[in-house]
Amino acid sequence: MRTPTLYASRFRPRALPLPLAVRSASLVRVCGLLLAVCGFLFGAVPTIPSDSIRPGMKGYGLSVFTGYKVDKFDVEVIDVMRNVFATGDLILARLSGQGLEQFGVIAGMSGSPVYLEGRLAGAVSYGWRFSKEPIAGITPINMMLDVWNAPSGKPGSGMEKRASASPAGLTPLLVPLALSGYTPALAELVRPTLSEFGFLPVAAAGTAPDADLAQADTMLVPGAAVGVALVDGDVRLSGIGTLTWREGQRILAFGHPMLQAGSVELPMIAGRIHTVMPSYESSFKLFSPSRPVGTITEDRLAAIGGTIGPVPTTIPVSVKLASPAVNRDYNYSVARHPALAGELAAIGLAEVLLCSEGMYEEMTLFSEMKLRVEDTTTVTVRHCFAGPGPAVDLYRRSAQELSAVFGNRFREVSVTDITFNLRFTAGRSRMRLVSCRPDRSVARPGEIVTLSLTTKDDAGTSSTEVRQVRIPASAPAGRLTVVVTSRDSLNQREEFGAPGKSNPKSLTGLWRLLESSGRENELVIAGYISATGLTVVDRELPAPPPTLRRLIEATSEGELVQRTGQSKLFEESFLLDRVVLGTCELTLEVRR
Amino acid sequence: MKRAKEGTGNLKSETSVQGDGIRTSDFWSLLSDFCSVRCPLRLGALGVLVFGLLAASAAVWSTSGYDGFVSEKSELKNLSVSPDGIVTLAPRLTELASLDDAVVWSLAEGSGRLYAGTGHDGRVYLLEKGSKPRELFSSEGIEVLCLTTDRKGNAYFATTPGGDIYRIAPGSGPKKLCSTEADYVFALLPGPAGELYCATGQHGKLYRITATGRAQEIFSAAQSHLTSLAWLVEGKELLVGTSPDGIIYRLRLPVADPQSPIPNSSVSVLYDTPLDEIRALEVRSSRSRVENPLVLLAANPGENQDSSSPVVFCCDTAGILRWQWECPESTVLDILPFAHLHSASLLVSTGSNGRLFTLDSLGRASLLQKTEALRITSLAQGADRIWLGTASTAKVYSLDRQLASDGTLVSESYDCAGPAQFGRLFFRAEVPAGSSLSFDTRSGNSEQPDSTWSDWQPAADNLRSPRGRFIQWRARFSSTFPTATARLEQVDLSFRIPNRPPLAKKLEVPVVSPDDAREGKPSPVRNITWEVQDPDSDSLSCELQYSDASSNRWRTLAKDLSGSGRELDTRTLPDGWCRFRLIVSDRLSVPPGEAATAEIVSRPVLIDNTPPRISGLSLSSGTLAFTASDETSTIAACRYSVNSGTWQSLAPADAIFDSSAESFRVSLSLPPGENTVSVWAADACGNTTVSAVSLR
Repeated sequence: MRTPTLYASRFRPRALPLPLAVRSASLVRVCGLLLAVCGFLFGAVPTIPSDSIRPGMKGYGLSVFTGYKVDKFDVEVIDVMRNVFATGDLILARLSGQGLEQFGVIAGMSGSPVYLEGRLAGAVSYGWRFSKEPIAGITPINMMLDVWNAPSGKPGSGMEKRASASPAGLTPLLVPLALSGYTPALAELVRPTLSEFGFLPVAAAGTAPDADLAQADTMLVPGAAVGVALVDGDVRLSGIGTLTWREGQRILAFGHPMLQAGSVELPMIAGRIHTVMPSYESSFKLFSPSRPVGTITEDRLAAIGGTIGPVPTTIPVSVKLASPAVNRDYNYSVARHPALAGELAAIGLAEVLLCSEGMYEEMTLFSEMKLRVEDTTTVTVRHCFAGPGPAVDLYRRSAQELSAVFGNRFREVSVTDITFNLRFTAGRSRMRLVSCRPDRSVARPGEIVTLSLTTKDDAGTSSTEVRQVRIPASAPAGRLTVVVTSRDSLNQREEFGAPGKSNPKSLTGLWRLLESSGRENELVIAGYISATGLTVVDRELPAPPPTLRRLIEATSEGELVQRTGQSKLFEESFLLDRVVLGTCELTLEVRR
Repeated sequence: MKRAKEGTGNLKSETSVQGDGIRTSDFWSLLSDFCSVRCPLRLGALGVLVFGLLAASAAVWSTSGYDGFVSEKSELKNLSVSPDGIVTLAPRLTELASLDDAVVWSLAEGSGRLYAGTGHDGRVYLLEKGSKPRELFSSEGIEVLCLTTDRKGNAYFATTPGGDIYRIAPGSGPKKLCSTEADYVFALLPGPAGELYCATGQHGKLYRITATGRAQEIFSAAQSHLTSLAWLVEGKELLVGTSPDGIIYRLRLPVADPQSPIPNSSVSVLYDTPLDEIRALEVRSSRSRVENPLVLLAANPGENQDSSSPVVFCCDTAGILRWQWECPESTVLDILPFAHLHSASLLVSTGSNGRLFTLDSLGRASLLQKTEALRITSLAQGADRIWLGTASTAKVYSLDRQLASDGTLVSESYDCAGPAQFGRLFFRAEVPAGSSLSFDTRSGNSEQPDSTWSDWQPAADNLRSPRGRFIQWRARFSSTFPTATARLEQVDLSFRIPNRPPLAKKLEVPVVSPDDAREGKPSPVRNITWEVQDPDSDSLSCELQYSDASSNRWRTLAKDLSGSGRELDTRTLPDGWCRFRLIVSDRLSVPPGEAATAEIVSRPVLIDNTPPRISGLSLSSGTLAFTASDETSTIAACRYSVNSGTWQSLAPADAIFDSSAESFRVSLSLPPGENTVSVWAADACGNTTVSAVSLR
């Protein structure tokens, strides 16, 4: 019998009387259950190391299948797979009872403690999808207890998506993720993202009743539902598993990692299990989360660990929505985690949008996202989408942009808050540039050139509008390429010409790139000359004087400096109430 | 390469001199001991010269003049070279700071504080002696191309790109003054009223920025970049350098409302350079009221001016060019008028070799100093010194009034063109009290000195460097007084290489062409030509020999031939195939016993000066028959003529002229009466014969 070293001196476990353990298996089970339920109060429970476990050993496990009641199910050891992990073994066992023969191993059982010969052996943690029998992998308790010995790092420093399957298709049990406002469309939208992290989105009935919440502290016993609140507020997103072990206010759960992010600070929740939903792929627990009751602090290979009590800070997100259908503010907060926060904020936005607006309505959406970063910087990103379901476009772009912020490679940023200002207008407001004709082919510096733009709307109706641009007095003689397009398209065009510009090398560069992105309703007329330019780090130096260019190139290293084939001479932009599509390009000759 | 003849001598020289007054290592007197003939050598116009010493294989490698000491392959450290090629210790160069940046773009000193602006992380440092550089500002991807200070001790700098202008008040940190939103800010110039003038690109705009930070565009040039600024008359007239047309604008500032745009009538072009880019611009004020200030500007070629060199121009306020200096380096990076060092008037920093030049009042260049960094990007005037900023290794140096305590000049690696034995090293120098000058040499057989070369050896009476094809010398200057320096004018190193044999490359003996042979034009006199040369440029003499093809016994036809050809009358030779041989010798230039020869043999040549014979000539029943034959060569042509009429060609009986005897038979339609038929034959060397027959 191995005693966890952490509390070996204070809580040296007393060995069960051997005759009692041998004489009556049922008595052992009763005693084990008592020990399991009361163990957290005493902080000590006998454990059985994996190398003492033999095929055929029988025992039981604990989990909640309905309500808050911890129920027992039967466990029979099939074998012990040695050294499956670098740090330990994996116990294979057949589960039975509580309908498991029908359900299979249930998503949400992750962390269910398993007792053999009255001693804690580990937690149900792994399974096989589409398995015909409820055969589970059990993480040995000694591996889980080592989580508390892991060196604590900076919270949020890890960024791992769920690892692929282990040998022979063995995968960590999915973590059911209760999603408020669950609709098939929303689930379809967010499922790919959540699946990458090992989450199984399911509908949530709502928040667990307050009365339950009051009892959460006492209810958090081995076998009880415990999880993580990723989004809370008007939008809620919570993952649930099972508590394996509690020592005082400290808990261990899951028996596998959530993201294997190391040290984290995520809100801990309890939950009420409504029922188990049978599924051929993977049955799961349908649950409602409680309000946060503590902090998950460790997310490691063998378990997640946390403390019941204070809850961590989260990132407030505000969505101000104005549309013909609704005019309302939504507020929610997302967990501070570099790999997840951006996705979570976007998922929350998606839920707000899909719950408020029609999925396939012809709409035009004007959006403005403001991120306050460390109370010193505000980054504003604007978009305009038109067509059926512009909300989906906004969700995808926002998820990319927020992930770029939270997952940036420069340093971890502390986002103070996020605000979305969204305005929907009915109908699809788009115009496609068809042609652009200048009033002259030769221009002199300082002259105004009039451009006749022919556009078509979605109905095919043509219209012509006139824009004027002034050729700068400094324009050199030669060919001038004039590009008329949207800001978004111009950015993409410049990515080819000046690749360094779209590859930020610093946070400041990232903010600049984000602020210049989108703006699909901004008509831009830009002029380019055939002069060699440079991008230094991520800033463009158009047509530098020859000495400066040579010096910068001669003194730069690596990819910091890149040449550009063209240099932008001027740019004029016009903000429209429509999305601009298409690009027109024309050539003028500048004569001095 | 010129060589004289003969001789070595017993040399007496000093190759290391401790100055106890002005002493000169008298090369010429020593040379007269060494050589029996004094070589006509003129100082001043020399670069590197090698001249012979009356011996085919002995020579002197002489180095003098500016171009001799300053070349691509010579290395100078802490030495200056004047326009007339005098090498001295350079002003002392002291490294003040080594910065963790790519380039020091700008330097400015104000109120005893030195500021440095760098790239490509846009840092501004405060540099104080004895303490680490203090970073005042940093922004990634930014260049701080310009820095300036005003009379109140404020420092100003600008960011590129972005065009933000910052002010650093004494004792405080940078504060943003305003933003021009320009892609480039190339120059900042403080005005007398606390205002700041700001030259920008890429739209060629000039801003006036008030002390409160209000920026107003006051001038826009039809140029992409305003690259430099200088006051012609402070507060009244401003000079602006530009790119891409390399123009200097002269702007008269409005008096009533200085913040208003400058009217076109107040803008004129002072000077239009042929180069694309004005890199730096300075105005050197006159010392007297009578003399007008001079405008000094450095211009670099543009992208399409690869064949042009950078140039420093000096013009007066009327735009009349006083002088110009074509820079031998790839780029001029900055200029600075100064009065502290030497008597020169303008410092010029350059790229590619890290060289700092001075130009005197006539535009003559001296090499003043050289930094380890390859590019000296910025110059700034300090209270008692000059500040230098560099690129590639971003450092800040100070250039003092005092001279460096030591310096070295390593010559190029000289190719003696053979395994040379080295004699002595001579130099001409003044070595005043408190200074010293010494020399070392090393040798090897690869052009680039490497581990196979010998170590540096002090240049003693006889150079101890081992025999080798390449040699290098090193001059070491040192001084114990801050103003004392040796003045080196010329270095000569004697060497001797083994005589190399001459080369006989071609020997040609003309032959009679087939056309000439058929026309019966023999060439008894042949112009035999040859091509010979000597790698040591020795004088050569030739001997022409002859042998018939069968005997291989050579007979001399002519000796002591010095030209490249000779006429030979082949009638003095027997008929038949023969060969000619040319033997060339350098015995005229080398001591007895060391002469070398080379020879070349011609292809076999046919000599035939005997005419062919005609036999069996008959004419009967209108049929002409005869045989033409030759002893040596084949029959080449045959003709007949009836009654002195036109010659008619005849073909041999076998139709081909390919034998030394050919038979002819031809039917003639002769007129009635007596007829005379003449027959003419020519052999392959153009010899001819005629025979006639009559028939009544």
